[in-house]
Amino acid sequence: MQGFQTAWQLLLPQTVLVITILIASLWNLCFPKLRYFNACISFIGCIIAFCALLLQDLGSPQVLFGGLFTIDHLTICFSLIALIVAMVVIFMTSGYEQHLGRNVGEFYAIILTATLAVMLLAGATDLIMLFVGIETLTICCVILAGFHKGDKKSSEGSLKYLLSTAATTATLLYGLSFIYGLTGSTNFNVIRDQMSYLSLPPTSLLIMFLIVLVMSAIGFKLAAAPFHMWAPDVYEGAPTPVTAFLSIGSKAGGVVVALRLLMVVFRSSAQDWGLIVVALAVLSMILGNLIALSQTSFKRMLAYSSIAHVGYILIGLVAATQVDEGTQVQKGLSAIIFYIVIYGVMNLGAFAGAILFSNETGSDSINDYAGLIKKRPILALLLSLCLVNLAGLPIPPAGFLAKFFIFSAGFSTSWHAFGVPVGPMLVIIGLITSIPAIFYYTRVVIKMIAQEPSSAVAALSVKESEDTLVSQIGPQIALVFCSVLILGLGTVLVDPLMALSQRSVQPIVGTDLNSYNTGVPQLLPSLPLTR
Amino acid sequence: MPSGQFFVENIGYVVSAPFLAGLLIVLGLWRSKTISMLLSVGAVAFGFVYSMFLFFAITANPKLVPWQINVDWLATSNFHLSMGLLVDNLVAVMLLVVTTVSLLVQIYTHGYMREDPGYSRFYAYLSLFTGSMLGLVVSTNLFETYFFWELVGVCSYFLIGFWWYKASAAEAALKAFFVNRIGDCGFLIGILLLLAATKDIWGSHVVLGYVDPNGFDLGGVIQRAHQSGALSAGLLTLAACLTLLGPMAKSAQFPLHVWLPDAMEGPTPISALIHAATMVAAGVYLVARAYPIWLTPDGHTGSIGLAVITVVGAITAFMAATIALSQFDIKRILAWSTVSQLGYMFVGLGTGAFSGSIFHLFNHAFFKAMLFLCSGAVIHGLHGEQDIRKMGGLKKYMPITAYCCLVGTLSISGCPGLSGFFSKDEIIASACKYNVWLGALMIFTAFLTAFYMFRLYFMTFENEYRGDAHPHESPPVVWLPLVVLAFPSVLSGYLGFNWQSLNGLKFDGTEGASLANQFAAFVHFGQVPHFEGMNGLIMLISTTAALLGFCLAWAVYKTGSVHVNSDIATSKQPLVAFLYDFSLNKWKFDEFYLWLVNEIFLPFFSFIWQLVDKYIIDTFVNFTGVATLATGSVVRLMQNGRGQYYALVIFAWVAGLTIFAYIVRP
Repeated sequence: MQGFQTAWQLLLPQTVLVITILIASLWNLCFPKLRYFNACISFIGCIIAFCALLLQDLGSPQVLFGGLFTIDHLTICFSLIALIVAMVVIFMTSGYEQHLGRNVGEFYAIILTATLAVMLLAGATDLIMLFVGIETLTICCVILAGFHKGDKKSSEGSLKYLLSTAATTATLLYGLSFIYGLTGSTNFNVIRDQMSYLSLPPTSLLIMFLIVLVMSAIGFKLAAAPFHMWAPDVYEGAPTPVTAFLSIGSKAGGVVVALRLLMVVFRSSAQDWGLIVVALAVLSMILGNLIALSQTSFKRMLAYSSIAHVGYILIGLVAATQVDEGTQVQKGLSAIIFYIVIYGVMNLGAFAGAILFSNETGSDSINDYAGLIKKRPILALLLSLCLVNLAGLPIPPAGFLAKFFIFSAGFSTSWHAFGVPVGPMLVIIGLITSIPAIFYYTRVVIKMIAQEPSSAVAALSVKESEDTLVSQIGPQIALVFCSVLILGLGTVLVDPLMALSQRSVQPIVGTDLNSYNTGVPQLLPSLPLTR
Repeated sequence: MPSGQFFVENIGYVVSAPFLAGLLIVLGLWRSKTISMLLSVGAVAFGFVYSMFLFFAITANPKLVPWQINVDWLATSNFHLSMGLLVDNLVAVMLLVVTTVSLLVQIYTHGYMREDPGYSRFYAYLSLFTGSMLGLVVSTNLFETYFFWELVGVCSYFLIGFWWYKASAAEAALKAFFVNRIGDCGFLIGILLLLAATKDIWGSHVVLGYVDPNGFDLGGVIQRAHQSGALSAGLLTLAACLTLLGPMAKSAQFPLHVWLPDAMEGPTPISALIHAATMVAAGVYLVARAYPIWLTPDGHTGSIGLAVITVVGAITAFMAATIALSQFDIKRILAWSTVSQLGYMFVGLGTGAFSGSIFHLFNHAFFKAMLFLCSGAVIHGLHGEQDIRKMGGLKKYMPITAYCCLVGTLSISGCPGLSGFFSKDEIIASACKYNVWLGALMIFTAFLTAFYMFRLYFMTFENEYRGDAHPHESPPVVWLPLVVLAFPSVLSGYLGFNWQSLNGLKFDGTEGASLANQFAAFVHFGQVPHFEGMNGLIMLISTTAALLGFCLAWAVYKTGSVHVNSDIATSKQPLVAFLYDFSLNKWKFDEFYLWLVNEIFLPFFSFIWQLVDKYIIDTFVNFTGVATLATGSVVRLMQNGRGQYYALVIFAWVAGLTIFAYIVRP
C-alpha cells in the first residue's frame, strides 16, 4: 500500500494531465457555448502539472511498476520541456482556432495526449513502455497532422505520416523482438547487463542490424535524414501549431528515447551506434541545410532546417560515444539538452511569428515578409530575434552558445575512424553547413527589416482590426514568451540551464559499465552471426 | 548626510539614470519637449551632483576605494565574463568631467536646438550617449569596456548623423562608424589575444579586470602569464598594438583621425560633447585604464607598446596643428585642435607622464567644451555661418562669447597661469626627458597651436565684421554654460600645481625638486604617486614659443602688418604651394584612403572574388544542379504516391545502413 501511495505521488503530474485530457475532450460536448474556454482549461492543467513536477522532491531515481517507468532527473527535465512546449503550442492554437473548425476540444485533448506520451517516453525504462509511448505519440501526431479536414495537403501529409510510421513501427518492433530474444528481458537495465555479458564481438552484424532497426524508429521521430521524407510534407500540410509541436515536442521524445536506448541498452556497443549516428548527423546537416536554402515557404524552410538542427543534436550524441570518459559523455549529453531547450524556444517563437503573420496576410511565402517592420515593428523585431538565434548568431548568444557547446563537445572527441578524427570532422561539416543556414535565416530578417513592403504587407492596415486583435493575443503571448526566454537564455540563464542539463543527464552518465558485469548468468551461447 | 561609503556603493544609479531617461524619451515621452528636456537634464544633473559628492567623499577618505561589484553575465564551468561597477580615483575624476561637460552641454542644447523638430530625439541620444560613456568609465573589465565602447560608437553615429537628410551629415556619420569599426576590430582581436594567453590564470577573479586586491588585475596577470611562459613579450606587444587601434580610432589618432573633422556635421552641442567629454576622451581613458597592456610584461616603462603610443601621439599632434593652420571652418579648426591636443595626451601616456596626461584630459575637457560652445554661439548668432573669413569684429556684438573664447584660446595656447599651461607643460617636460627631438617637436607644435588658435580668435572677434548677417548675442541659456565653463578653464590647472615649486625653479635645464601636487597625488598609476619636478628652462622655451605664435598671429591677423598668410596661399613657388595645399587638404588623407580603397582593395577583392566565383561557386552550383536533378529523378521514382514505397524506402535504408556500418566498422 505504501508503495502504491508513493507511486501516485510520483505520478501526480501525469495524473493531472490525464484528468485535463478527459475534461478537455468532454468540455465541448457538455458546454458547447463555453468552448473557447478549452484553451484555458488545457493551459491550467499544464501549469498544475508543471508545478507538480517542479515541486517533486527527488532524491534518488524512483523505479515504478516493477521497472516499467523510472523517475529521475532526465525524466523530469524532458517532462518539463514537453509541458513548456505544450503550453506555448496551446497559446498558438488559441490564435489558430478559426482554421480548425468545430472540433477544437479534441484538438487540445490530442495535443495534451501527445505531451503525456512524451512525458511517459521520458521515463520509459522498459521496451513495452517505450513502445506504448512511441505509438501513443505517433498516433496523436498523425491525427493532429490531418486536423485540417478538407484540406488536401493536410490529409496527404497525415496519410504519408501514417504510412511511414507503420513502416518504422515494424522495424522498431522487429528490433525490439530481437533484443528480447537475445536477453530474455524487456527491462533496460537487465538488457544492458545481458548485452555486455553476451560479449558479442564488436563488429557483429546482428548488433549492427539491431542498432539500425532501433535507430530507424528514433531517426523517424527525430526526422533525421535519411528517415526524414515524411517531414516536409507533413510540416507544410499540418496546422501550424501542430508543426511547431512536431518540430520540437515529438523531437524531444525521440531524443530522450535515443538517450535511454543508446546510452543504457546499447552502452557496450557505443562505437557501433556511434557510426550510425555519424552517418545520420552528416546526412541531416547537409541535406537539411541545402534543401532549406531553396525553399520559398517560411514553414517549409523551418521544417527542413529542423532536419539540420537534428544533425547538430546528433553531434552531441557522437561526443558521448566515449563511454569510458565520464566528463566527455557528460559534456556531450548536457550539450544536447542545452541545445534542445534553446532550439525549442527559438523554433516555437519562429512558428508563433509565422502564425501571427499568416493570420493577418494569409500568406506563408518568404517574399511576403518583406518590409514587415514598417507595419508590425514589434512582430518583425521579435521574429528576427528568433531567426537570428536559429542561425547561431550571438545576438544575444543563446543560439550561438547552444551551437558552441555542441561543437566544443564534438571537437574534443578523441574517437578516430580510419585515422580520421570523427568529432572534429563532424564539427567542420557542421560549421560549413551553418553557412547556408545563416544565409536562409538572415535572408528573412533582411527582407523584413531592410526591404520595401511586399504587396501583402503593404495591404495591412497600421492598426489591427478588432477581431484579428483578439485571435492574435495567444500567438503574441507565445512569441513574447519565447523572445524573453531567448534573451534570458543568452545572458543570465546560461548558467542555470547548463546546471540543469548537467544534472538531468547524470542518471545516464553515471551508469558505470563495469559494475554490472559480474554475477549475471549467461543465457545464450555466443552467437554464430559474427565475423 | 549619507556617508562616503553610500556614495561609492550606489554609483550604479549615476550610470542608469541617463539610460533610463533616454529610454523613457524614446518610448514615448518624446511627445512632450519639456518633459524630455527636464528628464534628460535632470538625469545628468543628478549624475553631476552625485559625482561631486563622490569626489569629495573619496578625497576625504581615500580608503573607500578601490571598490567594485561584479555579476557574471556569461558563465560556464571554466569561463565567465563579468559586468560590474568600479570606483577608484581615476573613475571619480572621469565621472566629474563627463557629468560636468554633459550637464552644461545639455543645458546649452535647450537654447541651441529649440527650433529643431528633432529636439526630443536629440535629448534622447544625448542621454544615451552620456549613459554609455558613464558605463564605460565604471567598467570593471575590458569586455565590459568593449560593450560600452560600442554603445558610445553607435550613439555617436546617431548624433553625427542627426541631420540625416543632409547628405554630408549622413556621410560623416557613416565615415565615423567605419573608421571606428576598423579600430574596434583591432581592439577586439587584441582583447581576445590577451584572453587566450591568460585565460588559465584568472581563475575566479574578474576576467580581464582592471583592479583586484589580490593582484589578479591586468598587470599582475600579465606578469604571471609572462613568468609561466604563456605570454611572450612579443605577443604582448602585438596584443598591445592591436588593442591600441581602438583608442586610436576613438581618440582620432593618426592614421585613423579622418572621421573627427567630418563629424563636425553634427549639431554643435554634440561636437562639444564628443570632443570634450565623451567619445575622444574614451580612447585616452582606456589607455590609462588598461595601462599595463602597453608596459613591458613585468610592468615597466620602456616597452615597444609605449613607444608606439608616443610616436602615434607625436605625429598626430604635429599633423593636426599644421592642418589647423589653413582651415577656414570655425568648427573644423577646433576639431583639428582637439586632434592635436589628444596627440599631446597620447605622448604623455607614452612617455610615462600618466598623471599629466589625465590632467590634460581633465583641463582640456573644460576649455575645449567651452570653445565649442562659443563656436556654437557664434554660428547661432550668424544664422549658420561657419566660415571665419565672413566673420570678424564680433566682440562688439557678442562680448560674453568673445571673452569666454579668449579665455579658452589663452588656455589651450598654454598661457602661464591658465589651466592648459600646467598640464601641457607637464607633458612637454616628460617628452623632453624621453627624447630631446620629441620635446622640440612638441614645443614647435605648441607654437603652431598658439598661432592657429589666435588666428581663429582674431579673425572671428577682432577688426571689422566682414559678413552680411546681423550678429547678435545669444540668449542666457546659451551663454551661461560658457561662463560656467570659463571658471574651471582658468582655475583647474592649480589642482596640479604646487606653489612651493616656484621657489626652487631653476633655468639651467635641470629639474626642480619634485613636490607633491593634488592632482597627481589623486590620479596616478601604480601604488605610489609620481611627481615631476618643474624644469624652468623647458617652461620658458615653451612659453616663448606660445608667445611667438601669439605675436605672429597678432601681426598677421590683428594689425595686418605682415602678409605671410596671403603670400603663402598665393605663392607660385612649388614647395610653398605644395605645403599649403598639403595642409589645406588635410595631408591628403581622404584622397589617399579613397585611392587605397578604389585602386587597391576593391580590385583585389573583385579579383579574389572572381577566382572564387569561377572555380568554387560555379563548380558547386553546377554540381548541386546536377545533384538536384539526379536526386529529383530518384525521389520521383520513390515518391510516386504509392504507400508501399514509403515503407520500401525505409526498409531499404535500414538494410543499406546496416551493411554500410558493417563494412565500414573497422
